[in-house]
Amino acid sequence: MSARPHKADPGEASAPDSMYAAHEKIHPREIKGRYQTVRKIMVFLLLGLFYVLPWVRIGGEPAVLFDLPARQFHILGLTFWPQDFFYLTLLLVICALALFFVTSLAGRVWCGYACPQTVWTEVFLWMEHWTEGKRAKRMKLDRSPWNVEKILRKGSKQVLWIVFSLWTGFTFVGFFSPIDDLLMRAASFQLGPWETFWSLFYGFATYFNAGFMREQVCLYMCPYARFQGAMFDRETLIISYDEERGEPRGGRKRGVDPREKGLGDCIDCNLCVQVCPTGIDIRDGLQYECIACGACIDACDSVMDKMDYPRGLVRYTTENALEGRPSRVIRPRTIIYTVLLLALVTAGATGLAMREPVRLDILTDRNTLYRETGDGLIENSYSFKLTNMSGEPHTYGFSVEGPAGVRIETQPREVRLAAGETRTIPARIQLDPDATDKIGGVDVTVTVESLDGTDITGSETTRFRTPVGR
Amino acid sequence: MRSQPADPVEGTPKPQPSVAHPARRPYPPRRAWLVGACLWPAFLSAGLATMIFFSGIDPETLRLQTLPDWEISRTAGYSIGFLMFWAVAGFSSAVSVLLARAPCRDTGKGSS
Repeated sequence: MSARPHKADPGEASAPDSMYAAHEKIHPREIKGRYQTVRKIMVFLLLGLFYVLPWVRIGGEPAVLFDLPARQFHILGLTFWPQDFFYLTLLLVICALALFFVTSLAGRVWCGYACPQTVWTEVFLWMEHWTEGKRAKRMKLDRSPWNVEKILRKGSKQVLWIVFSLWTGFTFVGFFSPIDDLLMRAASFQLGPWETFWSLFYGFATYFNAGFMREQVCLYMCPYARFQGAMFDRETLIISYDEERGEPRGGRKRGVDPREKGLGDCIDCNLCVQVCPTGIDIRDGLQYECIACGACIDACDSVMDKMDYPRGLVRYTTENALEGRPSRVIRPRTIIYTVLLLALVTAGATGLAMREPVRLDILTDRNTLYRETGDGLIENSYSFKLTNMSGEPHTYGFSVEGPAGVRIETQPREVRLAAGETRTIPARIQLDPDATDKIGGVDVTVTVESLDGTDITGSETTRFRTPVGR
Repeated sequence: MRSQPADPVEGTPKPQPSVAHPARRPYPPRRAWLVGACLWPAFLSAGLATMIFFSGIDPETLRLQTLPDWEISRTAGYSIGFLMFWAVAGFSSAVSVLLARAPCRDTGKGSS
């Protein structure tokens, strides 16, 4: 699929004021069918996750809480700290790759079934349908002058939309602040200024994007819509009109053999155009506006059923299949994506499994390189920055490895840190200069270990500076 | 995006082949669209910048080093940071949009 825009009519394009005609509101016609059922299930699944997840608690703790004020993310019992930013980056890379992978396999299924823009727009369309009626009725209502019925219908739609948007904004903030506490404070008008701001902001964004912008977000704002064509090849699943079978299109009575009249299977009922949420005609071929929602397939299938023609005049297919060639799922592109994805997921999972919930950073004292103690040892001073990244308090002790006789002293000897606490601990390492023949310095490894039997360890190697020329 | 009067909506799409929405043109340089073209990419960039910046820097540390007498919560810190990134990126987009447009010459009756 190319992201090439429509060819503009040269006559109109030359007049600077009319380069863009007023946006015509698209009234997608409602349609039932296989793909619309899948979309409905996805709406309930995804929005269900969004609206329910902040309320779920595991063992008294919120299952998902991005606790920004405390600088920690709780996700299903795991706690992440800013030091774990690597995992977030990895997750984003995996998500992007997975999107590319799915795109090369199945085209824009993300757009049609899972994109928040599509999913929320769908819900807003349902509300429009409940209050304003079906497509023809909605169009008539839009054309009609303002009267009591129009005010009532449009007004109740706005009420539904606004209430839903406000709740959406509130839920969004509930991902960052425990939602039950948030609700209590919201009920007594004690939300903080920023909590209020962000819930209104997100609520407004939902209202504006799902209520008014709709398909225009996909057409003009979405970066993915512009570059997804790069992931397409001849084996990618696309929604396509079978031109060979359908053309020449034209109206006919039921039961008439189209071949006798010299017609194809397309009865030119325009239903596929009416149901399209982005307002395109799929019979013109693949267009970058198409979000692969399958509404036109369902519409056309229902018509084919009525006409007693076989289904699939508009269908999910591949370019190769349309030309009668075999389509392959396994091909270099998909193999590369699979290998990359597997490698990244394995790396991330291994990293997570082996993640030690303690972090030690060693800063060397920059003022003095080394000091000689009374009993002839060389001493270096350090600052240890120790972070307890686990969810419970722990007591830690230190040990050092290096040349024979190396010793460590910290102030205090054992450190107790609360969950998430970071503390800077002064430390000294001593070494008998005769134990090493290295000039200038030697590497030593400091190990921190939990002393309460929880078996948490972390280590860090640092430079021990010795006198030059001994 | 609905500031201009819409064309009267027709009951059924015209039977013309291939023109579902004859009104649509690529890249409409209308004013509302230009405002969106400044704000929207800036919003995305600001989100990314906020994430990267604050994952490394605690707004509390920033506050202690700059305005220790002010009461600024972390939430406020993140929010102000995001809005600042947004403003800066938005300004940059606005200048890009301004420069990308052809210079407007007041030629009157073809003076040049």
